[in-house]
Order: sequence, then structure tokens, then C-alpha cells
Amino acid sequence: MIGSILLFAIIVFGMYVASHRLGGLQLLGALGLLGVGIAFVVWPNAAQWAAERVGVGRGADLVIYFAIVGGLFAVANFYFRFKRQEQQLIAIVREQALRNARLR
Amino acid sequence: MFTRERRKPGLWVVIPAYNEAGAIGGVLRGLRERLPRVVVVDDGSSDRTGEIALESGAVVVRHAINLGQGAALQTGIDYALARKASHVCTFDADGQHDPASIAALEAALASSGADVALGSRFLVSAPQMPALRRVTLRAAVALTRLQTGLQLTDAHNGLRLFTRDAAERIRIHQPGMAHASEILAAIAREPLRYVEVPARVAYTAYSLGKGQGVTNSVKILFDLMYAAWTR
Repeated sequence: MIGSILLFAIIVFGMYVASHRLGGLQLLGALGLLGVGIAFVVWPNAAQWAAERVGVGRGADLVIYFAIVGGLFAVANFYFRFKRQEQQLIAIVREQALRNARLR
Repeated sequence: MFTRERRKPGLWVVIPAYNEAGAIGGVLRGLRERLPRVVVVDDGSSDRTGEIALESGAVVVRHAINLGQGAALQTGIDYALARKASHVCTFDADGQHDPASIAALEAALASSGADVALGSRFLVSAPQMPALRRVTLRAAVALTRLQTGLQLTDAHNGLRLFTRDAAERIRIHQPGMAHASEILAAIAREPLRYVEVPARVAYTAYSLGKGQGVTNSVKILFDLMYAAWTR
């Protein structure tokens, strides 16, 4: 039951990713995440197996660590994008203000 | 719209203003007795700042939305340069600066041959300055010295006078309050010759409410770190 719900969620996430234009590196990261997510749902022991290989101990811990790192990357990505768009917005507003002032 | 005085090259005063309806009228009355070329950049105020500035005879350039003091300053400087300003003076809208200080800045530029004159609150005795603000400002000064190597006594004072050449060479990219450090970094980088001039600041309840609190200085620090990282 939980497996099918998770799989459904991951597929929805995949469709969401596919429907948005992402940069090459972001797309690669998102697809990688998707693949790992599907693998962990289909083979529940895969996380445990991987955790033991890297010396974490528990599969659940490994998943949490990956989620934290992935989350940090996502936040940083949004932040930098926001900053870029802020600069563009500032340029537009300043340009418009100066143009209006010249008209008067 | 433009009086004859404004068409002549000369000193332009740039005032960034955000919701300063309570103070801007008085500030402009004090300035315009001697200085005809004043541009107020209304930074998307929700009050009557822009209208009052216009009624008081200043040129008003209006940002459609609030961008921050750094962006407003750059807009005002661009406007002044387009109006063939020979000098650009930045001045606070909250009434804490004394219009008479501008003459002192002009005199200092003329006598020293510097490119930039910076007002300093710490070259005059300022008994009214609240203790917490004094400590914060001192920390900002120490950090700025470390960062730029400029031996300044004040770091975040809004009162400055630039020659046209200096105003053209300094570009403000920080939209918020970190622009003050950015200007000093540009002075150090170019490098521009600078001189500090004692400038008394009137700390009223109004200006203290509008001024930079301690929590805001944390945001300024963060903005500067971001700028240093992404440059």
C-alpha cells in the first residue's frame, strides 16, 4: 500500500519536473533523485544495503541525509534565482522611473 | 517643469525617500533656500512622500515599487548625471542631516582636491547618540576598515558629496542598506581620493525610528557576504 502511494508520489514529482524547464545540471539532479527514490520504493532493502556500504548503519538515516543535502541545494538554487530576478526587477523599475521623470 | 536654475550644471542633491511624509517637507524647505537642484527618489512610498516633495518644489522620480535605499540612490544619481550635475550630494530624507553641512562638504572638496567628501558623525561630539547605536556604528566602522582599508571614522552616514567623475565611477548594486559599505568599497577599489568632514546629526524620535537598528545590521552583513561570494 505505502509502496504504491510512494511510487505514485514519485511519478507525479517526475511529471512535475518534466513539465518545467530546468537547467541541464538541475535536470540531472532531479532525475537522479527520482531514480534513487523509485529504487528505494521497489527494493526496500536497497537503502539498507547502500547505508551499510557507506558506513551509516541504517537505511532510513541515509535517506534522511540525502533529503537534507538535496533540500539545501534546492533552497540555495531558489535563493540565487530569486536574487537574479531581484536584480532584473530593480533594473526595470529604475528604468521606468527615470523614463517617466524625463517625460515630465 | 524645470526652472532655469535646474538646467544649469551644478550641484544636485539626491534624497532617497520611503514613507517620509512626516519629514520630507521640512527637509526640502531647509535645502531649497540655497540649493535649487534637488531630486527626491520616492521609493514606492505608500504615503504622500512623493506629492509633498513635488509640492515643495523638488524633482520627484518615483519607483513603482519599494526597492531599497541603495537602488533609490543609484536612480537619483543617474538622474542627476543626466541633468549634467557637476557634483552629486546624497542626503537623508528623515531630517537628521543639517543642510548647512553641504557647504562644509563643498568647501572640503574644493580645498582638498578630493573626489568624495564623506560626512562623519564621529568627528563631532554627539552626546545625543544612543549608546547601542554608537556601539553598532563603531562595529560597522571597524568592519569597513578591515574590508576596504580606508581609515574612516564613520561608515554608514548618508551624507556624501561626489564630484561628477566619482559619481559616474561608483555603481551601486546593493538595493538595500548594504550600499553604504559598497560605496566605500568602490572608493577603495577605484581608488578615489576622499576626505571626511564633521557632520552633526540630529537624533530625533522620528529619525531614530527610521534609522538602522541592530537587527538590520545583521541583514547588512548577510547582504555583503552574499555580494562577496557571488562577485
